[in-house]
Amino acid sequence: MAVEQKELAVGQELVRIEDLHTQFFTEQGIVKAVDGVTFSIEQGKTLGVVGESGCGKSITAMSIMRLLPEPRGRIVKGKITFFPPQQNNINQTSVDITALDRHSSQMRGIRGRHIAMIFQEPMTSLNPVYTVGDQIIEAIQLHQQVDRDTARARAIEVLEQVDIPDPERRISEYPHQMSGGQRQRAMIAMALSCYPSLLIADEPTTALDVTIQAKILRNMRDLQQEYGMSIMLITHDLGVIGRMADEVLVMYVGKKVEQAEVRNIFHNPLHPYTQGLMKSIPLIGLKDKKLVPITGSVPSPFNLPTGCYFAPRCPQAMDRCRREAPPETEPEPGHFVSCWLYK
Amino acid sequence: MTDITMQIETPTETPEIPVDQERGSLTQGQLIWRRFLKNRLAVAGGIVILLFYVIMVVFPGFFGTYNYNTQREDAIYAPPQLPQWRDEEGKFHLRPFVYGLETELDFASFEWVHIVDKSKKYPVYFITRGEEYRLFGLFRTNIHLFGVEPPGTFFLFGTDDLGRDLFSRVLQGGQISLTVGLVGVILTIILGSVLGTISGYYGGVMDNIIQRIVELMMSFPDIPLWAALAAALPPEWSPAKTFFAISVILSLRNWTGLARQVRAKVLAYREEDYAVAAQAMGASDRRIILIHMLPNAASHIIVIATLSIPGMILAETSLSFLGLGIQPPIVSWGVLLQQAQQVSVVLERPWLLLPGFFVVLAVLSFNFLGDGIRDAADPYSN
Amino acid sequence: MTNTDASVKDTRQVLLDVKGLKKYFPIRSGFFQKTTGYVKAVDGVDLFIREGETLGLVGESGCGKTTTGRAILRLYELTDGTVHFRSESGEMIDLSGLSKDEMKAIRREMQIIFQDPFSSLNPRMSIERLIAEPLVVHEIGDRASRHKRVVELLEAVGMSGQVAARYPHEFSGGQRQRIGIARALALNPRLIICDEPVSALDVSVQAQVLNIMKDLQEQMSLTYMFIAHDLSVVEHISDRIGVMYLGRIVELTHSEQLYQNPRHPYTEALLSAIPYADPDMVQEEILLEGNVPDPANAPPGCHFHPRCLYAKPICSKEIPQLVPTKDNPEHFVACHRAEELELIPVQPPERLLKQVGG
Repeated sequence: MAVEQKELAVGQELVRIEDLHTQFFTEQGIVKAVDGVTFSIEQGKTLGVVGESGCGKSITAMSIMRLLPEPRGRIVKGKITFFPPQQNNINQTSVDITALDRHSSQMRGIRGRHIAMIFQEPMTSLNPVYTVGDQIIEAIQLHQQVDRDTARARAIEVLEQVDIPDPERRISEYPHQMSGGQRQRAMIAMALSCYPSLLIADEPTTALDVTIQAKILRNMRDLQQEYGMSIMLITHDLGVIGRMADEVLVMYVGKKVEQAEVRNIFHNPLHPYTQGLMKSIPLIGLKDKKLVPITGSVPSPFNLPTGCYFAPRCPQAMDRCRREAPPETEPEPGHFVSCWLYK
Repeated sequence: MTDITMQIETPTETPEIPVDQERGSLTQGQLIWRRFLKNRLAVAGGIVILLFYVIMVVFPGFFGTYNYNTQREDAIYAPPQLPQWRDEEGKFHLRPFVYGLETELDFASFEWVHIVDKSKKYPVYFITRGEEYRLFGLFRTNIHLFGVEPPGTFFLFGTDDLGRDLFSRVLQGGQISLTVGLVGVILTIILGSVLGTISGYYGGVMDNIIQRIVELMMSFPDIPLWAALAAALPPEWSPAKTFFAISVILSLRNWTGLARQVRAKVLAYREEDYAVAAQAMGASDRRIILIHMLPNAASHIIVIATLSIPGMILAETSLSFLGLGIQPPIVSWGVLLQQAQQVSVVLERPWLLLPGFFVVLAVLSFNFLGDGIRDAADPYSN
Repeated sequence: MTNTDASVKDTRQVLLDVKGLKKYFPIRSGFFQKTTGYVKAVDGVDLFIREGETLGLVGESGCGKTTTGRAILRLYELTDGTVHFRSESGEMIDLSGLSKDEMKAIRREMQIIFQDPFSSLNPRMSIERLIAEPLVVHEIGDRASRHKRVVELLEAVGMSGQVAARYPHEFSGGQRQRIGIARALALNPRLIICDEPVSALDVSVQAQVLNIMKDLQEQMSLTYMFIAHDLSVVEHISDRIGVMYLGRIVELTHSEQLYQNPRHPYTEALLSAIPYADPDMVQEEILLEGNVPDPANAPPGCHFHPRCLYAKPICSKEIPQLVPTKDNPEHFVACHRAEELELIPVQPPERLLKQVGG
């Protein structure tokens, strides 16, 4: 394995997001896409971020990458701190991502090099006029001072690691010559080519069939072990979360409603929203499970309810919920929830 | 009706979904309108076009100072007379006036020379009686927006080789030029939508034939094609007939682009689930096209149409400029510009180029307006 | 393992009987649009649906499940095969031979619900017009009676009749899907083809729509053909499930049977690949080699054999027929080795089973 040696300290903080507010300024008004979210991503762990469409999970990722369509959408408040992992026993200083210019060389150095991202639709993320190999080699040479042959060797190596058969030949193929699953693998290969410490995967398998998804998820887990990287996995699929995540963050309309270790989220969900999600998914072999849907629908971002955003749909809502937004509490160690039931 | 009444009990368990009152509180139309208003150039273009159509197409006689065909031997090639507010003593007049115009024959060159006679002042009156014209081509009337009392003259844009008032002629020419664009575009829309829809919806042989015709039409060079067709018009046709024929000729080449776009749209809509749903409920092809496809393509068609009007105006101007289009005594901007074909004329009497300025203004405005509508109607522009 | 009532012959009448259904799409190329090959989207599908039941059709993208649904509705001209539908008089009518007008009359009996709640409603039409459109097309009722019916239908899907004047863009995905269901119900059909009706919806809304569909089925004695790629959803709503692979049904049986006793290697792989929403689930994914082949160039014999872990020489030569297994006449499998293979079922975690049981 030619993986660069990173002294991995599992459990050490890699990225810290504090009170992040990201807003979009549209003709119809301001959309608070991310509304005061705080969490950390630890080294070597997988953080699953789950929520329905419009909950701000993708925007959180884009904020970390500083890939928002500024100035229409921008971080208005909060701090994102990146702690580069120790290298050769030298402690690197932390970087405040929110303070950087998004076009600056420092930000570009973090993006792709330290934090890599893969998207839902691999076809649009790969440039159709270049071969897959060229794109990976370019990514490598952008961040590492290596010659083309070294970069090419690395590209073949990483393609092999993502289980693309016959990588020496496939490296000169164009994106359209690959299947959807292989394109997503190529994207992962490109993301991994610079040994990132954090891989942000935004619905990486949503567009793929289950059998392909199973292979890619397995592959991502194996590579995480090898590379010792952290993964921030954004998905709406609780099954994918159950299979992949160590820690789970549940988001609802721009806010973090609950965060806990994966077993706690599934076996002891505290927030009524998380409980509702668990009750509304069908499971194989449990045909008799009566699905209890969450009533109503996600509120429009232009007309948010006062108090807790979930109150209008919440079966346990109290008067207080409709007046005041609940603060975050920690009813059991490591289990965070924002709900008046636990205050 | 009997067979569709059936016993749906209102479900007791199903929770009533409160309809979110505010979701999408703006209708699609309101959103488009808002986006359009934000585009200042487009709004300006829209206002100019609106003014043009009101002034030139609807009321050219009223806004013009004279009858556009009245010839004056004593005022050949008179320069523009601008309204004055301050006389030579520096006194300010609330009511503007024009100086008198003395015309002399220069015996050396045998040309009429016009001299401004500052001793004579003619006040400009508003809503005044002047030369007779027909309102909407029907009612005789002689009320003009402004004018001066004879023997004073008020040639805002000067006069042409026969002493006709250029300002009135520009307005009258605008009526023809702008209408040609409009009539041509209507024909374009009809031809383009119908053929494009047939081509896209039915596909197969019909599609093949229509597409080959489109390609053939597109491969002709514009001007020679128009010129050939215009030249083939019988000279004994009445001006009105010629005018209509010119519109048809212009749209004959213009519909091809629209047909292609409509075809592409229809092909896309055919895959939309709502078209399949209509099919599944047994709706006829006619219904699917008329109810489900064309209304959705409408905003697209309007944009293409708006953007193709300037092309029509330019085409008409070019043809008339070459003497192949609208024939005198009917005037259009192209006909007026015929006078500016010689360099000497342009140098000595630059006001004869003024119709060209109006062509540019109209074309630009239409382009701004069309771009604005396109950006506003595109739900993804944001 | 065998479920007691699953192997008992169902006595309900067959509503839809599909035999040898084929739909090939020609591939044209060149200037003269010559046909150079065929995409065999549906390549010999046999299935039947009994009155009042839900038949699930599951498979990965490109397996032909959507095409099967639309071919049954004659939204495509069939390449081959028959589709028999029981008319109200009880007679089985072959839809494949009907003229356009005859078909229009039958369309009142069979409707369709779509996946994409945004593309399935014409954005220019009000909810009232959308839901009333089937009535207008079939010239049923007058304006007032149609309005009454629209309100009735909206209430049936859990919406207020007051929304009739609004336009689709004012509603969320789940609400639009309800509107789509209301439209499908307008003509009081007996069979509804549901083409991925909840795939585009958020999880919490998915359950709302599934519950409504179940309730409506009971109230109106509807028959569903439920097409989806998500096996957990299909298993939840279906009485029987057909698994499709590359234009053919490879296994068709009662839904409990399918996960408790899968008999086709593809079903086994599919079941194991579904991520289970519970971290206690012990899951060993069976990872298939390669990708689903191009339907224009399907492998000979059993379409699945190049990726199958259990393939034998015969698999690449002979097409396996969809036949009942020895011990269960209701369990159909198209595999040469169906009787000999021991395949892994899905075993939900004890904790969850207890929760549901208790």
